[in-house]
Amino acid sequence: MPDTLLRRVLLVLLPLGGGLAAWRWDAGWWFVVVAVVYAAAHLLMIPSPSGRSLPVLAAVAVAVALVTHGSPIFVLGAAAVALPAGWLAVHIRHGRRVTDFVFPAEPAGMVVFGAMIGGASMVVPDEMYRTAVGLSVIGAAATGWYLTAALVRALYSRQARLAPRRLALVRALEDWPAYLALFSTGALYGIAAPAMGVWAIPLAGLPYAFSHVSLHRVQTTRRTYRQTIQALGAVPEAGGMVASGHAERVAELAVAIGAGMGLSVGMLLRLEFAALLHDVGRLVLANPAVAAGSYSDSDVSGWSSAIMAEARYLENVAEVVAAQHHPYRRPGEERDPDLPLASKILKVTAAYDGEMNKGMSSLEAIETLHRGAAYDYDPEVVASLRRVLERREVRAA
Amino acid sequence: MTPTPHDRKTALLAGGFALAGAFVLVLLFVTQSDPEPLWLWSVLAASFFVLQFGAVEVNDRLFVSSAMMVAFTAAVVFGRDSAILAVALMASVSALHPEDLRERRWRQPAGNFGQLVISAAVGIAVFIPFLPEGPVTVDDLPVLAAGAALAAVVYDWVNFRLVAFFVRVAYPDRDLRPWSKMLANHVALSVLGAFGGILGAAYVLVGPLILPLMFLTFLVGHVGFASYSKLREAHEDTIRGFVKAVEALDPYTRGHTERVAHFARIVGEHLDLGPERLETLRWAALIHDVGKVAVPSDLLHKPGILTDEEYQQTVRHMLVVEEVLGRVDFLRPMVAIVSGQHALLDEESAGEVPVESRILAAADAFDAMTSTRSYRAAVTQATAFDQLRRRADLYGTEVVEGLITAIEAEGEVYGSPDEESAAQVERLVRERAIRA
Repeated sequence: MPDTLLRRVLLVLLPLGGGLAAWRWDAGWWFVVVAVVYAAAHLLMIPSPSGRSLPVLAAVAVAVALVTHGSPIFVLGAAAVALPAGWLAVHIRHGRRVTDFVFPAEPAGMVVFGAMIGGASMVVPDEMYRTAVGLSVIGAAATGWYLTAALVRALYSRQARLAPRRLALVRALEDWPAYLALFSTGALYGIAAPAMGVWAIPLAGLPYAFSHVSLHRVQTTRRTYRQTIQALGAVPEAGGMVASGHAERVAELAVAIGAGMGLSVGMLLRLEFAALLHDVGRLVLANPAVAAGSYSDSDVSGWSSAIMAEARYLENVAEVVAAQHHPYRRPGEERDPDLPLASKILKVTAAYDGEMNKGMSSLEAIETLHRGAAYDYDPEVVASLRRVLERREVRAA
Repeated sequence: MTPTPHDRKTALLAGGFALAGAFVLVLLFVTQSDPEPLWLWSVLAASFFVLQFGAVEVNDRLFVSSAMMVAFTAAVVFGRDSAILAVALMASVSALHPEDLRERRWRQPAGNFGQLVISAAVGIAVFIPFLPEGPVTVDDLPVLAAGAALAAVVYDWVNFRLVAFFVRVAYPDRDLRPWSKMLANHVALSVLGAFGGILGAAYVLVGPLILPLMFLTFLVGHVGFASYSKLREAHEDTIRGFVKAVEALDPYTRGHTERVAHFARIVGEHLDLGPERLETLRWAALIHDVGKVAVPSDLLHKPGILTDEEYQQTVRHMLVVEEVLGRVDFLRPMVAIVSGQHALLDEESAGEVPVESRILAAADAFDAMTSTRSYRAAVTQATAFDQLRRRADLYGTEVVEGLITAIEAEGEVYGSPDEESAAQVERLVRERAIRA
């Protein structure tokens, strides 16, 4: 109910405030126009590489900053008025999931942006705004927006319960192309509008459309690629050769551990794919002659990596899987420094999920791993797994 | 190597093109003034060069090069007096493809030089009347944009005619898509032309600050499309590689998927399915057999009749496919296709099965008949065609006839060469089965 009440209050207050501003204040009409554009900008979303949809708010803010020579009333004031309206619009149009992408990260970014522009406007004279100096100020403020939004996303991540915040931060920082497209579109419009009038719209709009389409393609192709890997990884499960959901669980846990141990975005993706596909080699067991014979875990990872290596783009994923069966250290030997961290993580998580599938509790499973630590398993990875699990238990309690 | 008469003809043609191009350039040097400032010309010429060879795949098989945009930007920036010369010079520079230089080929660049210079000169000459006499103002923009859109199409048409002429004479056996069939390209090019004109005006009205901003926005788009192409390739490569590896587990079905995909494609093209449906069909064909690997292989190759229990197990394979595919957004339409294909096994529901499923089923059946399995030998192509025709009510007459026509049109032959060798292989297979 409070949702509906809030809506009604907003629907009454916003036009009232706008009317008041327009009536009592010289620049009031402009203020209302800018606020409406801000609010409407919430509805146009640009797809971002991390899979989110970002409102084109940033483009509007940059354009407004340039056109009004950094006037804080327009940059921040109009936005502040428009934010609730924009929120309402997104909520009605897209529902809760997308609203979460927008709030609170984008408003926080906007506040930092506005503060930086406001601060600069005390130093930078009006006539300098549409020059390289003004553009540098805008560039700095835009970077502030991008970093703030990423930080806020990391802090308010819904996944924080399941994985270290670093994962959410790394994912949010991946969105730079979308922000770059928004900021440069806004700047193009802001620079050209005073001289070109409405013609600044196609000037900024066409390159934006080009970026928008390309980012959309990247987003959907990424998603389908991942889903394909997921489906291929699920074939042995569907054939009853592996416990149901094993690959999926291992992938999710491995990425959480990997993020906690500082793996890069590219490496995390490789680890995720490796985890999803690490058991495809079990398909060989469809051949009863093989299934009846004796085979070891290292045979399975060998088969899996051989199947993956057939696809050129999965070669480096196959490497992670191939190295997976190596023990961390054999008795009486030095540990192998070349063993990739991703492989060690995969080994630990796969073993953990395997123990869980035998009906062990999480505590018992991790005890088993502890017993193998320093020989089979990298103690640091086991400790990291423990931290992730503790976090989940604490949050779940 | 002694030059053939054909070689001599190509060389002559390339030389002729180059001479004509050079003549046009000299003429322009005399009638037009030099583009000023030189640094701006160099920047634009460099962008033209890069974009000419950096076309991005906007859509399946639609490549768009943004060099056209730069040409019209330059025309507006340099104005009536030097526009044609400026753009023709840019085009002449981009005739030198680095690859040709490395391999010391001269015919291609010479031909390109003439073709690019002439088409640029004609295209921009058409645009000149739309350019204002004095400096550009905002009021000139509508005429400017419309003129650039029109001139871009002319530019492209001249370019196409010259290329077509060159190809017809030099490589008579090569096919060229007719100009009238490339509507999407023309629309894209005229939008790019108009946009280039507006961009040129923006440069004149606002100043050079426009250029780095433009560059940034385009960079995002360009990088995006490049990584999209790469992802798509990786995706397809992954599915193919995976399917290949899984097939290799079973010697009897090696290459089956690729062949079924090939048959499905040629039948789909024969029936004019359209690019999107063809693409879905291709994915479906590549992945249609993936569930098979979850079935113990002795069941798949068991000679003779399956027991009830064994049959249930085989049915599970179909359910596996549906379950796995159903989890993936883009594969979901394929579940309909693949399960439709299996629905064909019981003939009652054959009526409402989509055409893609019937194509896939017919292609699958044809390949199964024309390749040797552990339990029986391949039949001849003629026998396979007969069998398909007999089951025409199941697959649909248009699908069966489409498959037969398409395979015959490709001049391909599958299966045993003749009845006698088919019978011989059959005997061997039987003997082995009995021994086993």
